[in-house]
Amino acid sequence: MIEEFVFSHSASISVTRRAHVGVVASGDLEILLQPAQANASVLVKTNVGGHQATWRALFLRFFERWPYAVSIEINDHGATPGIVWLRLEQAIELAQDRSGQS
Amino acid sequence: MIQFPSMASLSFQELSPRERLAALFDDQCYKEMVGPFDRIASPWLAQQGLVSQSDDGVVVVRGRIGKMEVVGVAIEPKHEGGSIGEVGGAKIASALRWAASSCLPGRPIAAVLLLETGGVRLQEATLGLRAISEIHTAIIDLRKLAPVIAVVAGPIGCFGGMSLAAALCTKIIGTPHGRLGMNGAEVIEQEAGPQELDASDRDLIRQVFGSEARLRDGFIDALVEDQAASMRAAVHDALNSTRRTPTKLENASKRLHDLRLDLAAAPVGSSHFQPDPFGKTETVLHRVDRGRLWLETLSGGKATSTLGTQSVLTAEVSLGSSPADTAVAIAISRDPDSLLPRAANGELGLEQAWTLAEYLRSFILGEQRCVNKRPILAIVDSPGQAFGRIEEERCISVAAAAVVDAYAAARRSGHIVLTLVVGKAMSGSFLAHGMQSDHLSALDGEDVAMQAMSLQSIARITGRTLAEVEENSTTILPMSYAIRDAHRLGLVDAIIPGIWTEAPTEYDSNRLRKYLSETLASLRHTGPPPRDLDDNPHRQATVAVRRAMQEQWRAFDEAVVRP
Repeated sequence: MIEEFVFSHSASISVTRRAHVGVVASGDLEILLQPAQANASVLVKTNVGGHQATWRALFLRFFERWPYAVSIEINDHGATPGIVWLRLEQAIELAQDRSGQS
Repeated sequence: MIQFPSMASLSFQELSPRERLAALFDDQCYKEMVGPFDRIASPWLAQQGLVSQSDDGVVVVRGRIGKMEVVGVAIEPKHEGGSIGEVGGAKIASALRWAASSCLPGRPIAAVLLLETGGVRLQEATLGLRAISEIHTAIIDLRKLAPVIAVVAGPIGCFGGMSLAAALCTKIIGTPHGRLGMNGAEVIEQEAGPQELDASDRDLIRQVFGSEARLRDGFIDALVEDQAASMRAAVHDALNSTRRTPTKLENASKRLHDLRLDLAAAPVGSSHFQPDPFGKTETVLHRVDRGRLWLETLSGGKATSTLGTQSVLTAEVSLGSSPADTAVAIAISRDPDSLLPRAANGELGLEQAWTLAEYLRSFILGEQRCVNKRPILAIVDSPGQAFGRIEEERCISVAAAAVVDAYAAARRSGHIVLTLVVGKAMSGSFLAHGMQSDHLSALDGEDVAMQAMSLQSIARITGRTLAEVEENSTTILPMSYAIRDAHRLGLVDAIIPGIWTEAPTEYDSNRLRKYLSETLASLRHTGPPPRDLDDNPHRQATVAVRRAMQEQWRAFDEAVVRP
């Protein structure tokens, strides 16, 4: 069954645009990212339950390193932490890129 | 983001759906319609423990390719196998309908469909089936006004009801990786046994479904290398084609003739066919051949076979006082001696499909000069399309699409098509014979069913146990086989209660004929009532998609002044 939880962290750097990356497919995840005010928040929906501690550890490290004020939704289909990190970086990068497509 | 040196030299089929569209559309002048941030996701997946994707795996854009205005559709093969559910299906159908209604003389809006799809999403089965039927109608309507191009680029291929959609398009472009067919190898193996088609034999699968074989036999129109630049050139070419009706759907009588000649020269031996590999025919079939039963009950006479095909039956059913009210009623029936054994139990096979297409075409032609066109009554009891290797080799998708096209042509030329479900309304068979109608009614009964696939196959393809699928079929509305649930979903216009499905009395027959007569009269008088879903609590996702598409389509028109 689907597990759902939220995570939030203080953040200061703003991004300019929203971004959509990834796909809900085996070993991958979909990320919808939107600019937010002075905080980073993540809503996770995953079909692989029981790994909240890992998710939280990953988010903590990610936003300590990249304190971007963003509101993120994740639709996960069993992505590994490595993939999650890559997708997050990809979304942040797209959110700053003025030349790309939204 | 990784910057590629040049998109033009990349493999087309390895690109994501949005990248594929970017490779085809002119730079920066296209816009995504009803995208992920509209957040219209499938309402049905979560109920089955699956995470839904915010765009439901379907990307729709509007923009230009060369000089032509185009609406582009790309399906994400990685999300649930590129399957078509309620939301994704509604996005495609609604975009195609808007394109058709926005075409102006000299300014057509064409469509390019990148079809990497397994067909109906089995977790939203009956809704997926309806969505695909609506896509069929929308393609046929748009095709009159502008080219509609299908691209089958990747190894997921284009299967199920969506292979009929491809066949209805002006042109189909494939790459060497592409596959096109109605029933995938795994489904055939599940339904007919590994001796029919070994799903693990990759060479065989390529020889049956692959683009090279399809091009050789004229079932696709172009084969291009798997490179973005080549695909763009091929799509550009196809968009400039002047002929819009696909030739592959024509000449049904010749197809039928050739099929019979070939099978007479090389009959399908009994070694090829095991009638009941898993001993489940009994559970699949009703005791009585209901197609024949109801055809004869309603007509009060004998049903006749058509064009030498024993299993395509027709009869005349009087639905009013004037000769123009005499409907031609059609049913697919059983034929134990069928040329192709896999179509012996009332399935829609190659012979049945080409016969239906030819019969409908000549019926339309015969009535061409009539002011009051006679109605057509499609009586439905069929366990599905024929699952077999020969069926796929000879591309049953195209044969079934020819039936869809013929029913649509009948409606367009003024014939009212009524559908009456008396037993099983299943899958590709129902898409071809039954769903292209002005009014869809069904007898009430626990054994009157609408579905996309057998329970066993759904279990195998979705990787769930039979018990899980059975459980879902009682709790998830679009997974249900019950015709009453299809009615609750707005997929059936009317349920006619109180009639015995297998032992009709004269009273039943009269009551049913009276109901059909009244329906015909009201359709003639007022036209088909809009299938309004606004108040249906189970269809709010469809309603949301249609509203969002309308808003965004109009906003695009206002933002971009058409030259």
